[in-house]
Amino acid sequence: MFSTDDTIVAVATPAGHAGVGVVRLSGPASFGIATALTHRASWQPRRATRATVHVADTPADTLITCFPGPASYTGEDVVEIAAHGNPLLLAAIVERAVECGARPARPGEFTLRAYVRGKIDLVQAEAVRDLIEASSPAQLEQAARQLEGSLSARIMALASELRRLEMLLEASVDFPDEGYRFVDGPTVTAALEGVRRSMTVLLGDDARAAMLRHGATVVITGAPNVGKSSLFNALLASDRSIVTPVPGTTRDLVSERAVFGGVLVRLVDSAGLRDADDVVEAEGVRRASVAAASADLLVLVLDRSQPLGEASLQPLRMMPSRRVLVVANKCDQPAAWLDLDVAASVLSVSATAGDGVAALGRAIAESLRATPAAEDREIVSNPRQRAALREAVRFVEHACAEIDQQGASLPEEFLLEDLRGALTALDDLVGRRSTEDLLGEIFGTFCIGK
Amino acid sequence: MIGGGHAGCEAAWAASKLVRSVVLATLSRESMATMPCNPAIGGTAKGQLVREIDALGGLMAEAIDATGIQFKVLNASRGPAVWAPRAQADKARYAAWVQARIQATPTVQVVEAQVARLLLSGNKVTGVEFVDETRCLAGAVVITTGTFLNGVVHVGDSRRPAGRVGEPPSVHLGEQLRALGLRVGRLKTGTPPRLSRRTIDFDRCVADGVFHVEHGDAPTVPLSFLTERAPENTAACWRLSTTKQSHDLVRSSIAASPLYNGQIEGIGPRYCPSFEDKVMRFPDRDRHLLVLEPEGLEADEIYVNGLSMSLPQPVQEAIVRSLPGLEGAAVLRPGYAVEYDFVQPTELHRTLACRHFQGLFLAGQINGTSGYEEAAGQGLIAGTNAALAVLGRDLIEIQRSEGYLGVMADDLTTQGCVEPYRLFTSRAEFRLHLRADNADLRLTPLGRSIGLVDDLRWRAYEARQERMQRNGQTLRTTSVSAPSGATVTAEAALRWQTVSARSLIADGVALEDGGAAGHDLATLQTEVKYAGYLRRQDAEIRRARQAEHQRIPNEFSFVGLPGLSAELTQRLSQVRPESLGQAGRVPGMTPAALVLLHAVLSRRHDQADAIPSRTV
Repeated sequence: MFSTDDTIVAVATPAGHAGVGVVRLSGPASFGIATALTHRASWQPRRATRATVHVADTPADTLITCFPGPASYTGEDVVEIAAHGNPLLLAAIVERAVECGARPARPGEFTLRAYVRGKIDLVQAEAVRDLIEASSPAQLEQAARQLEGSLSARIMALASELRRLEMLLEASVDFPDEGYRFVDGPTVTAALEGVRRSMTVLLGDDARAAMLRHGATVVITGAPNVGKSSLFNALLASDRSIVTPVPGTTRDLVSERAVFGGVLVRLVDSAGLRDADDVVEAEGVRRASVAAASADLLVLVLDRSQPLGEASLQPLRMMPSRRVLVVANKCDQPAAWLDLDVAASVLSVSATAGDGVAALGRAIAESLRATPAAEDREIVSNPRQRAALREAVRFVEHACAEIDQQGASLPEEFLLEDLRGALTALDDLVGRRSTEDLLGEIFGTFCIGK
Repeated sequence: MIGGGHAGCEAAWAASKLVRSVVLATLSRESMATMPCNPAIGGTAKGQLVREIDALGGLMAEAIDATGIQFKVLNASRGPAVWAPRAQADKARYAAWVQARIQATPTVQVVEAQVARLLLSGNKVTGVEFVDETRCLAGAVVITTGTFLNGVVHVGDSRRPAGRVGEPPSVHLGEQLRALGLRVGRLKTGTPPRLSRRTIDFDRCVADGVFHVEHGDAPTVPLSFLTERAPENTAACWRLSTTKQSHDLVRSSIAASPLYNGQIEGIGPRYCPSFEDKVMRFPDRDRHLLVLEPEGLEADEIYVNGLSMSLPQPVQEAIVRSLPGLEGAAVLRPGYAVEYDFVQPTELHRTLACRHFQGLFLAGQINGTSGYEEAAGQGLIAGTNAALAVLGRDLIEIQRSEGYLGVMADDLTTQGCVEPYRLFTSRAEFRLHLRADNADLRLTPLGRSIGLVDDLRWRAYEARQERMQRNGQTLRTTSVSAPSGATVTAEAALRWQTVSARSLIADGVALEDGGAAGHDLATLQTEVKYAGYLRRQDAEIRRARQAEHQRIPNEFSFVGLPGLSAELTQRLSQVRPESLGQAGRVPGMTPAALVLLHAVLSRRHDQADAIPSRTV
């Protein structure tokens, strides 16, 4: 997948009609192609210049900016052509550029070139993708911090601490009779413990990391036909779930990502909880129970217009009350009951009329925000980076455990093996060491034009 | 073979087993295999290397076992991977032992003559011409001229050529190598003053607590796998510390040091600093460690380890006399610095064959290394390959995962030298595997297949293999009782911290230790106790071998590869890595650049594969 000697071109803005669309070129022929498209001979670096691009028979009015390498995003000569945001027009410009010698870019190829030319490291490259895909302010903030290099800097600081230890231990092994004491056991233990603690903070726990990356899981649960799917749709303001008056319509889990009050949420609609005769429905009920049990937040829907069934409040007993929101739905109809004797807060909502839906959204955001978030800023949430970090932690923990067990008698060269293992994992994390497979995987998940 | 130092002697000895006729040209027979610096063989990484030389049938280990006067294993308090045998040598006896072995080899002819130049036919080396214009034709030539290429010795402001007086040695040859376009650099090394043993009262100094006496190990461990009887310790060494007074003398005379007044341009080794450097670069240290080492049982010379310097002789004498216990010591020879030319070893393949000249091999200090052991190891590789080249056989290339020999050849030819190169265990990424105790297991089969290992050594190797199998069996089938009272296998017990192979023997487990060296027990114990670490390293070795198997063709051009910086392109073109694995070790190589290289190579490969199908 890696040919980086040619010139690539792609539409850099999303598909569809828009006010403005941008076509981006990168590579040695970029400026030449810009000239061929416009018959304009010279370009002022980094200055937007109005020019007419001749596509087919129609002249297109564009604004062209040339960024000479290496001071450009990719480190190569880059040209950005801003035109009216018509997909046909943008496609025609790309086609003309291809006729002039450019090659259509593959996903992530611009960022790959930035990486290959040393403009950014692997963590930053991944941050570019995360920044584009961020769907909550928290993700956006994390990606931005990562792109600016703060995570790489923290990883490198840990690596250099390990390298310092490595150097001292190596000196002890290679210069045994110089009469110096390079490092003593307690110093090594303390330093390793420090590194382990910092790594553990970066790793956080898996649940928090997943929440940060994929959103908190909010499961809508309750008895059949209390209006769970209506509420799901009302919250998403869409018709994602099929709503019918037939109890037991929702048989599988239906989920959708949404942002409430700045918090990313994976909203899950589940089957009504009851003893089902139908095999398929029974499976749906089982899945609903599993989902409810692992939810970050449960929205328990009750039907205000009907007397409460015996099992209606059952889910409240499974969960701490701070992780449950109780919704009294169908509040636009005559109430069959008024007060509930529960610790959780109760909100009155009419999913069909829309009353109280916005308040429910706010309540969801607040409940989720109440969980500790300050240290989330530090958590590494990218799965690949987490795997590498976890590997590094494993090596450091192994070293700590061996020291614990064998004390001062643990030979340095074995300790050094663990240090090397941890350092290799950290190098993998920031891409100081990488394989083609890994790069293909990372850059393959980008959007085209970045 | 041009040169009769440790490299030249091992080269001649190895080649003599493979080809009918080897000529070794030396300036004098008596200077063959002499030790111009410290009187010791082995040490960290070097000890492992000596065992490897031995495993391949080399001379060094047997020579030192026969002539050493004090034997020690360094790092004995650490783990088995860094146990490093070292021995104090009787210099004169060591050299005489090697000389006798070489002279007794009928296929080696030693000639006392100075080589003036290489004979070439195109880019093929066909022999050498001596200064008297006689010629020696040869299928291959190995240059092991040590520090004699434009060598200059400095003591204070006096300078003299490093060869025999009045006969600037190897000047012609050095000029020819430059003229042939080999990249030549300049390095510096040094040696301390030698004192007269008769002028030092060791007993009184030890009694006064001024010297601390150092004895060898008891029992001793030999360096050669063939030595059956543990060698005896017959000499002691003494430790002492420098004083503020001696440091002040250096400071007040520093302008007279060729190292500090610009007289010397060559780069010295950081790991072996001169006394001037120690004092000037670490001004807050008020003492440095010195070791007085006898140069032989009867020799008067005492080597002052740690006091290498090139100050004027009167200053050196004053410094020596300022040291406690050495107030009346006579300086037999002053310390000196020597500057010399070396050929950047990036000019060589990992076989130590010259890239651009067929039939030419370089080994030892001419490749920028320091140390007798490093020289001997390269001599063995170069001599073997020179012989194999003459025979038209495949040359050998020892891998980094197989031995320090491989680490050294790869480091030199990939990284080049910026300072004199010596081996460290930290240079070996597969250190746990490259141990002193298993050098024979790693390399003797290779040596046998080439023809370097004789029947005697091969039988010893086979016997050891059999003992190891029996020991493994014994461990698995013998039960011992744990402190808890439970019964476990001896193998399980050996994993405990408090249990060693020797303690098992004491408890009645019938393990065989296979003679004086005790390698069997070391190997057994290490492989059981550290099995987890060794398995992990084995996996890494397999991965590394894959990268080594991805060869870069000889004609491959690094110029014009997209995404490679101009600097890296130049470096790769110079080093010309022979595999993707080696490319990854070229200084300045980035992972992205390596991926690019990999991509280009696989594309070439695909294209090459595609050609036949197109012609169908």
